[in-house]
Amino acid sequence: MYGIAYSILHNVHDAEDAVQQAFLNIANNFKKVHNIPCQELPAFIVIIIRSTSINIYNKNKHISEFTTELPEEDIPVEVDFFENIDYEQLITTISKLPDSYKDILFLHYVNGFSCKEISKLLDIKVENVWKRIERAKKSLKKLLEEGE
Amino acid sequence: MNKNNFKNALFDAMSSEYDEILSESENEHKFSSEFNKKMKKLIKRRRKPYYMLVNTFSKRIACVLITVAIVSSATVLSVDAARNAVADLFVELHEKFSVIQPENKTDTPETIEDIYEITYDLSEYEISYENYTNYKRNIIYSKDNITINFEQSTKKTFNENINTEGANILEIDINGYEAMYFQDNHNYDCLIWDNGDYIIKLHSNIGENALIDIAKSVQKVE
Repeated sequence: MYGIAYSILHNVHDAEDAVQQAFLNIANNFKKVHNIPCQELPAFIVIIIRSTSINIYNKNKHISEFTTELPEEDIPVEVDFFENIDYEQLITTISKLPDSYKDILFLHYVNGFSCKEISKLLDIKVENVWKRIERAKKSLKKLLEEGE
Repeated sequence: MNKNNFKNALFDAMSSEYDEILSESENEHKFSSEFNKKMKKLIKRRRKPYYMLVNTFSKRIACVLITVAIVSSATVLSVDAARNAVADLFVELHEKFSVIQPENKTDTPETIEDIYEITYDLSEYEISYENYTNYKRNIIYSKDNITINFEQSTKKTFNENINTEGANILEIDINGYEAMYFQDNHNYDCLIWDNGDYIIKLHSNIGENALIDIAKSVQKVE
């Protein structure tokens, strides 16, 4: 965890703070974390420490949390959209998404955390969790459509 | 493809990448003594059985207030109760506290079946305490020195002694339900109402108007 934090923050004290905060976030949600299957745990740990480190980085640089509203005409992307997509193509396209999008999709759809739980884990607002999930799906849809 | 296949695709696409990140980030870093001290303190505090009750300053204050209320209420048991009915709640007023229980408990859920939550924007608040049982849901939101205590209880189990010393009890309309409102002697506003199936209680120092707005936002969410 320290290695990942340091690779983002490049500062020993900030990296240690990130590890401590990540530990605290995990401990505060331990009931749910305890039920995560072993094969999903490494991904979960990477996501938490990466997000915690980015939060500290943003705070240090006085960058506020992204809060732009989705345009009103946007309709949420249903998971069923991906129904007719070739499985291998879907896997390849998912890997092209930015880390923040991949992380949030993994937490929500693979680990099964709700928006509220993700909000607590990543220390971001609940509404921004939902927005990020929607943006991730839209981005994935766009990449798939461009790749056709 | 259903949701499970989408989940599988996400796992297959990303798990090896995350495994690789973890193995590449292995580090022989020796944590500072300050870090070790903080972590030991954190672990030690979490081991205490009452940790969730006192893990924030506001909760510790709440524990002190509850203790004081219990001690002071025990000294006035000899005072004759003034009986009063507020809306659907039966309120037994004593000098320093009131006993509140629902009047009509028949044909109401035995356990919490429907979830009611505050839908007012509390994104700037953190959830400092949560406790869920079959009969009661309790969530405390905190920001700086402001706390908002939300409770949803089954009617058959709701029977509370509440600190109403010196309080003026009023009836306020909350979405068509008559709520009991009072301000306790610590300047915390309290709203309690019967929505037909459950008793909803809000207790906060956020201010009367804001608390009423929050109360009106309480809705069934699932």
